[in-house]
Amino acid sequence: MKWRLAVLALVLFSRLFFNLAVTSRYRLGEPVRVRFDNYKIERSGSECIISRGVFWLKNDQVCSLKQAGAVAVSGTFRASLIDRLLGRVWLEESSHYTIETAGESEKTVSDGRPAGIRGISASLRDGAERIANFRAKLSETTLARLPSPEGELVLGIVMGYKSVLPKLFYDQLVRSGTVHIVVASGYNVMVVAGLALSAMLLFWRRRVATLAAISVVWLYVLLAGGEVSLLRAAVMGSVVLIGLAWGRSSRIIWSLVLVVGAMLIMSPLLIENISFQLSVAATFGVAVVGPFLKDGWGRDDPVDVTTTLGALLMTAPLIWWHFGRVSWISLLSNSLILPLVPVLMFLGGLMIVAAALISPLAGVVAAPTYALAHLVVILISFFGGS
Amino acid sequence: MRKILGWSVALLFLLLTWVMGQAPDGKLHLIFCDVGQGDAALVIKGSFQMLIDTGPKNGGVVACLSAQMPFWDRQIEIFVNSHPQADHIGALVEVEKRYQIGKKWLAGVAGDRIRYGDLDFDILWPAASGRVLGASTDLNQLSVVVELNYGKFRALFTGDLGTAEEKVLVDSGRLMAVDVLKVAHHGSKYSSAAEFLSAVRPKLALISVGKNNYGHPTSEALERLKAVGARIWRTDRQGELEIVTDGKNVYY
Repeated sequence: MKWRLAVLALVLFSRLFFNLAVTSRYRLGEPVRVRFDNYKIERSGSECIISRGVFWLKNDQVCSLKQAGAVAVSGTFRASLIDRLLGRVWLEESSHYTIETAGESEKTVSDGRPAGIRGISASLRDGAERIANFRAKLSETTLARLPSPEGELVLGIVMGYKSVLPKLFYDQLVRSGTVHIVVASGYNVMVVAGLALSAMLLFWRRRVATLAAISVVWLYVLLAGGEVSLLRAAVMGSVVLIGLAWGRSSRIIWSLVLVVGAMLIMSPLLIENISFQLSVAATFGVAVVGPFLKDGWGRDDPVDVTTTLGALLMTAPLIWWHFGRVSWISLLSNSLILPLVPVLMFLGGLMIVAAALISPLAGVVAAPTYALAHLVVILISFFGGS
Repeated sequence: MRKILGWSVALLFLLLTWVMGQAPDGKLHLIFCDVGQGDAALVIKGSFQMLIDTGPKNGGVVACLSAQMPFWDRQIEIFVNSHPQADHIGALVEVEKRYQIGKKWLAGVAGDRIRYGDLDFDILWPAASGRVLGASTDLNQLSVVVELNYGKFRALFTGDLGTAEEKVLVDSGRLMAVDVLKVAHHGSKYSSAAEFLSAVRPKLALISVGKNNYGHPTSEALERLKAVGARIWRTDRQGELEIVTDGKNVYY
């Protein structure tokens, strides 16, 4: 107990005294103009997020911007706290701002990052590009072996590829409350961790197997696009796995509290991030609530219904709160579909890896993958209507 | 171990169910895919498939192929393009990502014939010279017209053919009564002339059409089709159409 408290105290101390977090030099309410060059646009529901360095803005107008080019945004900041390491400065959504595509360079604020970081990020970008190309190749070989929408479903479940989903099928996923299975999320990471650990335990002792499983998890995160939400989930998953291997089960809650606490201390604004909340809830559901339910049930559980139920129980209230669309249908559809997801992930992953290494083997694995994917598609279209 | 065995048996059972459900039945299946404003027709017999046009990009032809072809069959034997306009060939890249295409028949001319078992595909248009004298070089005028014969069943695919070319075909005396007519140019008033329709006397007229600004299908074309007693099927209203025939009886 003592050393854990010491770690927390150390993190808190370094944050306060080594200036890891600073108060923004931009004051709330003061009008500013931020120039976004080479910005990134990400979709978030009906709105889009545009970001450049630490500056972030979310609204529906930016969806129509082109990916390349420069834009200037005038407005005010939403919070005065800025974190040097992971912080983001959100521009106030409700304030009156204007977006000019031909922005002026004068009087604009910079993102305040030292030049050295840019050098590192350039080489990171190269690596990311290579991974993106590899992902595109894997996606091609998968789609060439499976019909639609089974191919897209497998890509979504295994690699979090949401963009390729046909619109009709995507709508069915949303209506049936199962769209989360095609988004690379904390749940996927936990499934990969579970599958990898089971496989490694066949060959090694628990502690070695745990380390091997963690490597598999990180490889998966890399292949699934390495989004921030996945990285966070992987950190949480790794900590939970280590907690399981080295200690009593009660330590898992502690490990989770520690890692979530550390993340929040480094970046307090994370608390309002939906994907962060879902990652925490899913990890807690899988690592704590699932085993609790299993003990309570006391019977054989061949398809791991209790783990699924644990994750579902913890995430459902959040999904209801943010998206207002948890229905009885989604509870029913999820309890039927989710137990199939780990097996489909395993088969789909095997097929994708085989396609990259030994092509004929992929053809063989494609058959059982299709068999299961087709069943999932039928269930989704049944619950999601047409 | 018991868990793995259980899953393997369940997967095998599922696989057998889908294989039995999707195995070809030996009859001729003619499917007009709902691809919005565009054309895409699929001819299936046994393990043979011919795709006539793909419809526009993201029109839904891949979903149609996926639903109609068995999951293990990743090859379309023949692809025919009526003419190279986006609403007829716009999704070819999408199709090629998912399926191998055995042979692309992109420049057929009158007199060409493809035989596959007891299926006959005859090209009636464009004439070898390619153009109607005095007319402009509109791509629609060069639409490949395919006549499919199987036993007593006959279907005619007309691309975006216009009335001037239809008249040349009528005058040639080559046209015969058909069971199914793919109505030319999504029901444009500049196609499907009364004279042409009297020559082909379609029992079923299929209009492949979606949301558009051209007024397709036009009331003029619809009236002319009704006048020859054709039953009309529109993909924008009734969706995808599948016709099944054994060469004698036709079901849809």
